[in-house]
Amino acid sequence: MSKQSAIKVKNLIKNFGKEENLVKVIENASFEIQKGEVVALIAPSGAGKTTLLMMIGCVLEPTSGEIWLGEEMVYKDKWIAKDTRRIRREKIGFIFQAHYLIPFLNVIENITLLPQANKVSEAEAKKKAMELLEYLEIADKAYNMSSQLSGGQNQRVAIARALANNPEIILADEPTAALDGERSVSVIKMLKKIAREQNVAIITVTHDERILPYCDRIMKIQNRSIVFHEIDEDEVV
Amino acid sequence: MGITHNTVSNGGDPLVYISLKDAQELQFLYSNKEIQNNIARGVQNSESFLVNTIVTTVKSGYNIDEVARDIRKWQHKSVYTAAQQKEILTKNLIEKSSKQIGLFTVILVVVSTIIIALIIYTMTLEKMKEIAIMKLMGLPNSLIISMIVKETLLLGVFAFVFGNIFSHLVYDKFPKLVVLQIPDAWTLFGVVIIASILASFVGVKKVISADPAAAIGG
Ligand SMILES: Nc1ncnc2c1ncn2[C@@H]1O[C@H](COP(=O)(O)OP(=O)(O)OP(=O)(O)O)[C@@H](O)[C@H]1O
Ligand SMILES: [Mg+2]
Repeated sequence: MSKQSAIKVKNLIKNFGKEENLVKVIENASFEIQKGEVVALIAPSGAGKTTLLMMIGCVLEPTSGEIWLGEEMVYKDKWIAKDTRRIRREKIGFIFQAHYLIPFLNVIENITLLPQANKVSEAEAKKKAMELLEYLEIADKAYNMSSQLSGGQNQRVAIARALANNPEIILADEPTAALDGERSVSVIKMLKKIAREQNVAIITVTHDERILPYCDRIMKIQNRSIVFHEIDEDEVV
Repeated sequence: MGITHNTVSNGGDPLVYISLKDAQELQFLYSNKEIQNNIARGVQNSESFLVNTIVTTVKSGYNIDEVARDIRKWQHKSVYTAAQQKEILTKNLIEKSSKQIGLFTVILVVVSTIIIALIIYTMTLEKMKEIAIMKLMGLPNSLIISMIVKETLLLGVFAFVFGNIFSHLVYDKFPKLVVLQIPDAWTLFGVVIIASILASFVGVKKVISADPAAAIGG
């Protein structure tokens, strides 16, 4: 696999508040993540994991620095991308601790919502959604409502939704926190398979030691800056 | 003589037909204040059985208004042509009550618009989290708004159909006869739809202001 940058961050700074209320969360972070790579983001609560993820995801505006997604510079001391929502829609899949499926839509409608916003025809979006559901082994639930599914099933639907747009990047904030050990491992295995097969860069926030062996690198926030740890291949089960 | 069936006065009250003699007796012996006072004072009113009204038809070739003008010159006579009589009836009775009912209708429509708006508002508030997630995923406002407007319209159509069926079931039990006409129903339908759309703007305003970062809360 040729090394291609999916995410590039340079001198990123994020502060909240002003003057005596100033909270420095990220100071001078610079790093690069390749396509096809799975990175675990680990840090204590309140260290800024969600904050970092939301900045990369063009949801939260940084204080200063640079963010590149693929070939596109989206942020340099201000949003370069005119429409950050379009960037999110086209390049990024989000997964959270809770599935956040839309309760008044069924499974397949939840998945086709985003592709249809991207002007993909309904039939095509449906076909792709069914493929994803089969890939994630919950195709039989396509026409159920989210409330009729278990936690693990809903999380798989949420993953399918994040994948529906063929994103270049998946940002996952504790995707397995609501799941038991066995299901956590199956979700991270799935994410790894997706990263490899579809050349997607994945950053996943986690507190769960069990899923680390499935990641390529560990990213930590220490003293407001970013440090990386390689994972020994031997550890991989 | 007797009580009529399916006939009402222009005020919607039941009608009774009685003979002229009885009517005059009613009017001049019992109900006329002046006569009652005269009777009380012992004055016999011998002129109580006079003719009260004459309905005439004007021969063709004569101008109704000219004839009326001539008669008006006689003393103690009022003259109304058919057109004027009609005018008196519609202006004083029908138009006033139709204005009254119209005003009630307007108030009801305004009140129900406010109720729909409040319902939409709370329904949208309940969906703030999902809306924030949709914005976070990158769905355009137009798509999210169209979902809310669709929901409101559905609510409006449902309310209209239900309300219409209900009113058709009960309308003949109204104390006064009510006429239900199809064109009126369509006008109401239009009003309901416009009211629903106006109401959904309240929800839409909320959507625009939803903060996507707040969706996942820290
Ligand atoms: N909107 C905000 N205004 C001010 N401070 C904020 C805001 N959002 C986050 N913070 C602060 O930034 C810091 C990092 O928050 P963040 O949510 O990124 O932590 P986290 O690493 O995701 O924690 P957790 O593991 O609990 O989810 C915290 O100290 C938090 O109080
Ligand atoms: Mg967090």
